[in-house]
Amino acid sequence: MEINCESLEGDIYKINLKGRMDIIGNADIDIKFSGMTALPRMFFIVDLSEVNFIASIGIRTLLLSTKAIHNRGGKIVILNPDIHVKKILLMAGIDMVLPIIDTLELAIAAMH
Amino acid sequence: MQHIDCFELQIRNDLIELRSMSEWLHKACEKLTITDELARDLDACANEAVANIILYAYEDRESHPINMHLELKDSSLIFTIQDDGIAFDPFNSKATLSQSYDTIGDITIGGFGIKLIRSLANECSYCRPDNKNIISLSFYL
Repeated sequence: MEINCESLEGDIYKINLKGRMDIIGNADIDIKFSGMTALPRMFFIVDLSEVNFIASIGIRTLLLSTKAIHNRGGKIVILNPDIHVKKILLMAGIDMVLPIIDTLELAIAAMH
Repeated sequence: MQHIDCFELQIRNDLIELRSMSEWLHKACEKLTITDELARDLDACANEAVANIILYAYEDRESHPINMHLELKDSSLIFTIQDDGIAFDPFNSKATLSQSYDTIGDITIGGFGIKLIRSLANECSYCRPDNKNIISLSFYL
């Protein structure tokens, strides 16, 4: 998997993931993702538009960082996931704590 | 000669094999003219089930075969996994993914894999003949 992080307006960080977030792909990005979502950063948009598969290990990675971010009063949302990835995330029932948003503009607005 | 509606694969108990398994599943589904959505549901279930086997079913470090069978039968796509690991029934639980969560504290991280399988497959079963675990997943067409 590939991962990179870009800084947006208002101290918001957009983390872009690309590839297959299975047990093999997740191992490529897990530690980097945790590092990118660590202090002192508070606001995150995780772009899953180029992730074509997510397994439970990927959901675990997203949730662990979400918990840490929530615990320090920050915010994190998922941006524009692939239709099947979205189906899996909705089935996992995590959208109440990790909102799924379709556009970057709305994702930025959700940070405020 | 392999029948067109039936596909078989054997992999080793190594996580690196999961990618080969997924490629095999998608190619088989294409030949069976299975929809992309169902193929991806099957891929998700197979990844969870086989990863669990590789990670938890073996008490030694030896190489073990994991056998898979995919077929169309009576308007269902049936996927079967057989392994020689320790006895484990992944479906001996009432867990499903139907619940939602209001706060992050409500979520128990872990156990999503089995719950995903139970939510995506229409039928799940487990049996253990001849000291082998056999998981069978059915998806209605």
